[in-house]
Amino acid sequence: MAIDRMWQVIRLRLRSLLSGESVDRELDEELQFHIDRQTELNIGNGMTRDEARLAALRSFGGAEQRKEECRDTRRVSWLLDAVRDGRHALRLLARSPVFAIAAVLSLGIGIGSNVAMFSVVDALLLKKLPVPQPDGLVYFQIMTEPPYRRDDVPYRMYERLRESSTSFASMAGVWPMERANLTVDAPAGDNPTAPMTRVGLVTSGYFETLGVNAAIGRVLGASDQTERPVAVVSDAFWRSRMNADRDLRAHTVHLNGSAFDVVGVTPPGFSGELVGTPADLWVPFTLVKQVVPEITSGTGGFVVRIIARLASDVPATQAAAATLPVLRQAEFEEAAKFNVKLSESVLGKIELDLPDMSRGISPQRRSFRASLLTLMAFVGLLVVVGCANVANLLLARSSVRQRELAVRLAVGAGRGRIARQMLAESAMIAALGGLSGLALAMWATSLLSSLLAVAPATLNTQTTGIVLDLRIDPRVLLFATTLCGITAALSGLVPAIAAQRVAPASALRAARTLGLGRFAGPSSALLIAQVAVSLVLLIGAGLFIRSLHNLRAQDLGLARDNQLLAWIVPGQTGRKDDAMVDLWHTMMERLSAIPGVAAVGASNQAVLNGGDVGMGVPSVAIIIPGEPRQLTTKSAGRSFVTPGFFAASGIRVVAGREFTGRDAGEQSSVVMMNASMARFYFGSETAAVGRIVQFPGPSKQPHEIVGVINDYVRTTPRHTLDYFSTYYPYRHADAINRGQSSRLRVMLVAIRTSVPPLTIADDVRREIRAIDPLLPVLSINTPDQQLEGLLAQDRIVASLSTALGATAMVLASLGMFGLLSYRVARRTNEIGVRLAFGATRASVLALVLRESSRLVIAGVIAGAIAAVSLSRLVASRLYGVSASDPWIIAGAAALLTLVACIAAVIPARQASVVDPATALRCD
Amino acid sequence: MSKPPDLVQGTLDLLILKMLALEPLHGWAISQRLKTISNDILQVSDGSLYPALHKLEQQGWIEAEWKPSENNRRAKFYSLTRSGKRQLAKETESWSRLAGAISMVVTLPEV
Repeated sequence: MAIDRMWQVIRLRLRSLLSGESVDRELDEELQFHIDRQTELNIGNGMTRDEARLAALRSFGGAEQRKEECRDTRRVSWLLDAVRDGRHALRLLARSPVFAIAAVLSLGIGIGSNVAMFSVVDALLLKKLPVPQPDGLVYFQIMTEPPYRRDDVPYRMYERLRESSTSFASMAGVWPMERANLTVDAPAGDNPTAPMTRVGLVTSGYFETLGVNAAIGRVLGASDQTERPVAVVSDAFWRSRMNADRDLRAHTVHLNGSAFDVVGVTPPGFSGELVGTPADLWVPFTLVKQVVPEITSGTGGFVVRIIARLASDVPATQAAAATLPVLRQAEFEEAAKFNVKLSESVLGKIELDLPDMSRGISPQRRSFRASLLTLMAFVGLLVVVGCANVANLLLARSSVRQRELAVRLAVGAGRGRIARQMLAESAMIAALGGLSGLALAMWATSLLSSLLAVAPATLNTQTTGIVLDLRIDPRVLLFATTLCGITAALSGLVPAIAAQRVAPASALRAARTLGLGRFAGPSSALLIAQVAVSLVLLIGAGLFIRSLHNLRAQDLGLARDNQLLAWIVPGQTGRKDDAMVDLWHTMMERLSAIPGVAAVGASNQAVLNGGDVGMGVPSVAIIIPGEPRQLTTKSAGRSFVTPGFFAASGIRVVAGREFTGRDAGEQSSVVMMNASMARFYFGSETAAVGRIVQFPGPSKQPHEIVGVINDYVRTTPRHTLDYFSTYYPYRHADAINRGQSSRLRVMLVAIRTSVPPLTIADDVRREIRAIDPLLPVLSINTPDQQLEGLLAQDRIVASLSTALGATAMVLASLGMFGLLSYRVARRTNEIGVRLAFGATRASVLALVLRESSRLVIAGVIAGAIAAVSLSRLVASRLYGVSASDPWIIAGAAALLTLVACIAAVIPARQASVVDPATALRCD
Repeated sequence: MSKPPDLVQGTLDLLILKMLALEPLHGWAISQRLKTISNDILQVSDGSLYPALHKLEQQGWIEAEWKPSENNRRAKFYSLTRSGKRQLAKETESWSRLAGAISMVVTLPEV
C-alpha cells in the first residue's frame, strides 16, 4: 500500500474513532444536501414541494439504512461499540456512587496488595540481574562430603582454578564485607554516624564477567589489582553519599585510615551479584588488608566467591565436570599447606556444582521464600474475595435490571451485546480498581521495603534484613494489568452468564415480589465462598499472631531488663594480640565507670545474634581423659568471655562459679560450659564442676571446669537451645587460637544498668568513641529491641496477615450487607403481605437473619475445612502452635460470624420496619 | 433491505473513479452525471451511491473536501487521489479486457 494512501486511511479511521459525532454530522449534511438538491430539481420539473421531497427521499431508498451502510465502511464499529459500552458502564457507575465505591475498593485493595507483594517476590525471587546478559552466569558451589556445601574458597585456590579452567568465558572472585567507618570526603573519626556500607572486594574480571560498564568514569580492570587504593561506587551510593556529583576526582572515600580514589560509578540499578544485600562500592581484591585489617590469614588465604560466565554452548554440568579434576587438585594443595594430606576417598567426595546466577545470589532468598509465598497466597485469596464482592454486587444490580434486560432482549438486542455490556461494567470497575490499586501499591511497596530492611544487630558478617529496590516497573505494571483482566473476567462473568438466562416473556410478566428468581443461586454461593476465604485468612492471621506471641514470650535464658548490648567490631581497627586484649580490658574498665552502670562483661559470641549456631558438622567437642572420644553434631564452638560477662548479661551460673580476674594468668587453664553439655557428658551440672578435660587440637593442655551456665538463646528464639558450647577467659583467646585470625575481633558488651538502660546509651557511645574514635560500633540496643529485630520477619507476616484478614472480613461483611439489603428491598412486597397477615416484626427480623446465618454457617464450615487442609503450608512458619489449633479456628469463626451478623442486622431491621400499606401499594 | 442489483459488481466504483478523474464532484452531481452519461440505461439508485463513495474514500482512492457548491451551499466534493488514479488505470484495463471478452463471445456469429 502506498504511503500516502495508508496515511489517508489511518487519518480517516482515527477521525471516525476520535470524533465520531462530527463525522456522523457530516454524513447527515452530505445526504441532506443531496435530498435538497434533488427536491429542487423535482420542483423545477413541475412537482409540488411535497411531491418533490417525497420523490427525492424515495429515490434514496431508506436514508437511515444508507447512513448505516456508510458508517460500516469505516470499519471501526467494534471499537466504537466498546467505547460506547465503556461510557454506558461509567454512567451506570456514576448513577450509584456507593455501589461504585464499594466495588472499586473491593478490587483496588485486592489488586494493590497483590501488586505490592508481587513487586517483592519479583525483586527477590524472579527478576534477573540488571546486567546486559544475565544468562550464562554461574557461581561455584563446592560440596565436600555431601551435604556440606560452601561457596567460598581461598583466593589462592581461585587463582589456581582460573588458570586451569577452560570451560568459562571469564571468571572472577568477589567477597562482600560490611564495614562501619566508611565515610566520604572526611575520615571516620569526624563522622560518628556513618551508615554501614557493603564493600565488594573484587578480583580482575569481575565487571567483565558480569558485563557491566561504568555509567561515569570506568570500572575496575586487571590494571587496578595493585596497591593503589581505587574504588568504583554504585549509583545509589553516588546519589546518596556523593550528592550525585559528576566530578569524581573531587571525592575520596575513607575507610580504616586509607583514602580511596573514586574512579567510576556503575549504571543505575546495578548493585552487584547479590540480591537483597546490595554492594555500595567495589575495590580491587589486592586491597584486602586495607578493607579488612583484622585478617591474619594473608591475602591468599582470604576467601572469595567464584562467579563465572560459561563459554558459549558449554552447559553448566559439562563445565562443572571439566573443572572438577582441577578443583580436587587445588583442594589437595590447599590442605597440604596446613600439613594435611587429603586421601583419595576424601578427594573423591568433593563435587562441584555451578548453580545458575542469572537471578543473582541471595542468602536470604531461602529464608524469606516461605514467608513471601505465604503472604502472596494471602493477597491472592483477598483478591478472590474482592472479585466475589463485585460479582455479587453486579448480580444484585443486574437482577434489579432484569426487566430492563428483558425489554431490551424483547426489542431485539443480541444476547452477546448484553453480555458484553455486563463485562464492560466489570472491566470498568477493574480498571478503576487497578488504578486505585496501583496508588495503594506505591504506598505499600515503600512500607514493605522499610519493613524488610529491618534487621537485628549481629556480629556475623551477613545481616538478615533485605534491601530491595522496589519500584513499579514495566514487569509489575504487566502483572497489574493481567490481574485487572482476570478480576474483570472473574467478577463480570457470572453476572454476564446470568443475564443470558433472562427469559424475556417470563421476566416481563413476573411481578417484583418474585424476588431473586434465578439470581439467588450464584450470589449465595459467592457469599459462602467469601466467608470461607475470609475465615481462612483470619485463621492464618490468628496463627501468626499466636506464634509471634509465643516467640516473644520464649524464655531466652538471659535477663532482658536493665541491660544494654553494645555491638562492636574492634578488629576493623587492625588491632591484634596484646593490643586487642588491652582494648577489651580498657573497655571493661572505662564502661564500668559510667554512672548508672552496675556491671559490664563482654564476649566474642553474641547473645541473640541471629542467623545459625553453625552446628551440624560432626566433631569432637571435648576429650575426657580416660574415656572414649564422642562425635557430636551439637558443638557450637568456643566462646571467649570477660570475667563477669554472665552476671552482666543475666545468664545464670547453675553450678560452680564464673571466671574472675584471677583466672587470667598464663598458667591457669579454666573452662566453663553450658548446662546441656554438662548434662550430656557428666550426667548433671554439678558433676561437671571440678572435672579436668582436654580439647581437640595441637595443644592437649588440661582444663578444669569451674562452672556451668544455663542454656540461653544464642541465635534466635526459633532455634533450639540444645547445643554444646564452651567458654574461656578472653585473655586466653590468642593462646588457644594461635595462628588464626584474632578471636577477639568482634565483641558484644553486655552492660547491666541500675537506671533505665536507654538513658545511658549515649554515655556508652561517647565513652567508646573516647577510647578510639575509629572503633566501629554497629549498634547499641536493649535485648528487647534486639529480640524485636530478630522477630522482624514474624512480625511482618503477623501484621500483614492480620491486615489482610481484617480487610477480607470487612469485604465479606460488605458483601453480606449488600446482598441482604438488596434482597430485603426486593421482598418489601412479600414482607408487607406477611405483616398484613399478622406476622410480627420479630418474626420478620428472624426471617432475614435466618437466611444470613445459613450462609455464614455454610461459609464458616467450608472455610474451616479449607484452613485445616491448607495448614501444612504455613506449618513451617509457626512456632509453638499447631496449624490446626482448634481455639484459633473457633475464635476466628466466632469473630467472623459476629461481624457478619452485625452486617446482617441492619437490613434485617429495615425489613422489620416495613409499613405493610406502603409495601403493598408499591407494585 | 438489500441493494438493488443495478450494476455489475465493481462497475459503479469504476464509473465514479472515471467521473472524478475528469473533475471533482459532490455526490448529487455524480448521481446526475451517472444518469445523463449513461443515458438512463444504468439504473443507479441515489442511495447506493453514498456507501460506494464512502467505501472508496475509506480505501484511499478518493478524498473529500467541503467546498461551496454551485448554489453556494456547502457540499462535500470528492476528487481522485494519486493512488486512485493508479487504481482507475488498473480497473479500466481489466474492464476493457472483460468487456472485450464478453463482446467477443456475444457477437460470435451463430451458425
